[in-house]
Amino acid sequence: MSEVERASYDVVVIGAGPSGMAGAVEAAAGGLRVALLDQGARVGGSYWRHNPEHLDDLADVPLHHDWATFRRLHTRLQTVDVRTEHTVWALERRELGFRVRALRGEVQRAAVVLDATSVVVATGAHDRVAPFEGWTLPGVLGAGGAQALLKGSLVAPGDRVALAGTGPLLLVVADGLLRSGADVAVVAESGHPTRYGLHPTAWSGLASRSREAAAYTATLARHRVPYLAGWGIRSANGTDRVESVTLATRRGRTKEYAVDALLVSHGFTPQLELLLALEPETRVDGDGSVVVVVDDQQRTSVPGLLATGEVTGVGGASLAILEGYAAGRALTDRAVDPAVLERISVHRRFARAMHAVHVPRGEWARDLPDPELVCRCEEVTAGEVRAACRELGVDDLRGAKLMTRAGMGMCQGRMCGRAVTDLVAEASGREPEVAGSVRAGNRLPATPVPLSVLATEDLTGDAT
Amino acid sequence: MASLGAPAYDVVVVGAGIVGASCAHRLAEAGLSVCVIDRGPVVSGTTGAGEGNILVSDKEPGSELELALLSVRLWHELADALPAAVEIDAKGGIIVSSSESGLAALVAAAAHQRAHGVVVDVVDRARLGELEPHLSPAVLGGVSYPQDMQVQPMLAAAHLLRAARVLGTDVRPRTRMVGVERGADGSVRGVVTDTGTIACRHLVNAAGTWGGEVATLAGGPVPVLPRRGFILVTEPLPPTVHHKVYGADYVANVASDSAGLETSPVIESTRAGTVLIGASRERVGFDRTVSYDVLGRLAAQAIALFPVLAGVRVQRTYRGFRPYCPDHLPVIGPDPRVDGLVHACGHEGAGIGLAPATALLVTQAITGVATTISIDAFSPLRFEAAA
Amino acid sequence: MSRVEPRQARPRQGDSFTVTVDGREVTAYDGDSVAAVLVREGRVSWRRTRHGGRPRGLFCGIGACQDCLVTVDGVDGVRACVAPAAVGAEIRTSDGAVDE
Repeated sequence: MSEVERASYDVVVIGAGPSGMAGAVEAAAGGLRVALLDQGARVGGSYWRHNPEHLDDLADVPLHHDWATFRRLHTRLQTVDVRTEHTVWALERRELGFRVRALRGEVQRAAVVLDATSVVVATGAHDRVAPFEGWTLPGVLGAGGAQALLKGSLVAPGDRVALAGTGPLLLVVADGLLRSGADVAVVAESGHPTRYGLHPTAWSGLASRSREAAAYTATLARHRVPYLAGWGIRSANGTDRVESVTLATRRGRTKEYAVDALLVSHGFTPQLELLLALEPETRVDGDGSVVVVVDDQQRTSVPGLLATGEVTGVGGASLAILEGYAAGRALTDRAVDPAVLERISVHRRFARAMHAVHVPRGEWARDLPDPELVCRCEEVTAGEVRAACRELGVDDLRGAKLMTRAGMGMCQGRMCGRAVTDLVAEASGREPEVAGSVRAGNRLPATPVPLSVLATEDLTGDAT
Repeated sequence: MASLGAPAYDVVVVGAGIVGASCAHRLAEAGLSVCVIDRGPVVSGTTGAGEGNILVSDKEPGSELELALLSVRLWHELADALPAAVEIDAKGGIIVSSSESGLAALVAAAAHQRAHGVVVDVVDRARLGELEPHLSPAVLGGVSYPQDMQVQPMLAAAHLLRAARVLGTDVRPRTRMVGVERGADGSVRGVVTDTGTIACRHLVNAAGTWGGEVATLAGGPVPVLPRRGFILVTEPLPPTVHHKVYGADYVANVASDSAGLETSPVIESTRAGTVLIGASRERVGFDRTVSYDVLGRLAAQAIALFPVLAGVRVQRTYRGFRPYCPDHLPVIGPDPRVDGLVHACGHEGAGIGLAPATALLVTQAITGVATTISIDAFSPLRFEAAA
Repeated sequence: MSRVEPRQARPRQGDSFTVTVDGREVTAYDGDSVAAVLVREGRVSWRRTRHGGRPRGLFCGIGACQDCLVTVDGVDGVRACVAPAAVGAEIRTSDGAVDE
């Protein structure tokens, strides 16, 4: 039988990205016993992915953002029990709080059970990639994931990289690659950022955003990297890896670029898996993501359960840090400065504008060819999903899962859930049931768990 | 509201799970006009949480076993009619025991079952090692049931509905029954739904775990209650478990009246390569919260039977609510209290296995043909007599 | 076919150590994930899918997609982008990996 490590805290914060770090530091500053968990080997999450050299060596700081904030929070983590390499597989509500079940060590998979009065879920988001022809070719990566590789190990995903999709992340990652000496062939944004002008109030109070955007655009120009607005991905081409990408306008003009890596971002998908089992109130955000509803103290509808950062709505790291801080204050019954609450509103307004501009092309579901995969893990094609709609009456995500196995593989629908929902809606002529996809996402365990670890939960101990 | 003159359908089937789908298919084949309704999407109830068991091994000799033997024969016929995607697999089942007394009880039960038409062989440890090389050395022996089968239940139900549609059946998902229109003589004239009334002569209650609600709405109450079960699904593995393998307690648990938790190992592979691990039974209403000690016990029991599974990872768990009646028999057949009402529910954990036989008996009852086996034991009136 | 130059965007100054990848000794740096080691080597894929035998490597890069799985010290199903490269780790990829 496996050994189980057990401990108790006042607060367990799950996710050591910007909002998790801020929340843990603030809660500990208020005198609480706090644990901060992350599946990574270091704190920082994706946004502050770094390698140990960065803590002393300033040469790569231009790769990082808000690095001074990171260092300040990092120092203050001394009052927090930091548990890296902890992957949480379940969150359970109990009489006097919560039980957090985790595996320690990606290889070791040791059982860890932590009890806490309150929990803050700060699990962030992963890249959203809407499927396109060739998207499963090696060398096609999520832009955020490629950025984590660059920041964490100074490794570029390819010699000649294209970035495509929609959203501000494309420019940020392109900038980082260029600063690191990688060759960027093209940056293609399928939206029209001139539409930001339609949301003037969103930019007020965030002049820094315009400066950043201008700086990134200037870097691209300096390196003579073409920036194509209004161009989306037609296909990634190659046999066993990506060799070129074909971009296209809505009207059908195409351009092809020879590349050995294609970084894609169609926004972000918040990682709500741990929260869903506790059934907090959720809503559909402006970018179509399901997010958890919180009040201005970051409390969800489940008492003692707080949420911060992207899981409450994709809005970037600065907002996440503010939310983390607010949660930390709330947990220690200290008021949040109204100026901070105002900053949070300003950021949320800006996020709403971003969501309105950076919408992935709706036609992707119709354009995805039948033989192309929509579920990577179980290798289910778009054609199989469409056939299930046509012949078996499938009209929602749950039906598609049961009849085609889409979403039943190792990633349990994280990569394809949104895509299958849209594909089913398109094929069955019904509106996409985004909220329904939440219910279909019964993700326990949130990460695969050895049977021997599960067996430690058997209270009788006399199973024969 | 539809006119109550000429009925729009001969039969409305309430419930688009495996039993409803089987009934619709059989009725349509018999030439009747059928409409299937379900308050949710098709196959959105317990069928979607089933393992796909088609068993004779766990049936008590008597009417239950008779029903199961008939149903297994019908599944073999369906195997020819349904597409390969439905994954009908005559893999056979083995009940094993790690104690001498347990083994003796298995052998005695097997002799009794054999006398009632079940094909069953006692398997010694050496033979067991050939059939299941990864079984724990602690297992002493077992009893094999070659007639036990496996199917992918959601696809089976969906394809049965599809076949029924080809024969003219209407399928209306997301249509909730709210009542019944009855004529002056009390007979069924139509099913009232949240989108209007559907005129019909017969109502088949195939609403599974919600069969009690439907029965009450229709005027012929039957006590169908939920019995919760969890299943663990492992990551895909190379072939590890070759048959359905059950711990000796399985049969006793199915028949048990205990309100508390009953668990016994049930382990099998699927075509997708995953291993399904069950089985638990609890009477906790429709409580959906995860019970970690139940999951833990299922895991521990699985490892005890197949030690090689210890490091194997669970990628998914799910739960379902089996529809059971107090005497663990389903309710099948016309309800004398309401002319036109026919029950086809309460199959507990055997709905998938027993669906084709249920469909045959229901069709025979509606078309006035003598039933292949007696359905007296499944009568909806038996609960009133007992009360 | 291996790359001639390591795909290293900037020279590393940090501590380096050795791991083995499919039996070969490879240099890794403090803070590397297993995925970083593989990508630096020029590997773009290192396993094949179950049904179609399609090559897969890094996709989401943050532990969500389960595409980048490798075997480390005999343990299967390890997410290369999450697992830190450890001194002396024995990393095995499944057959058919595509090198550049």
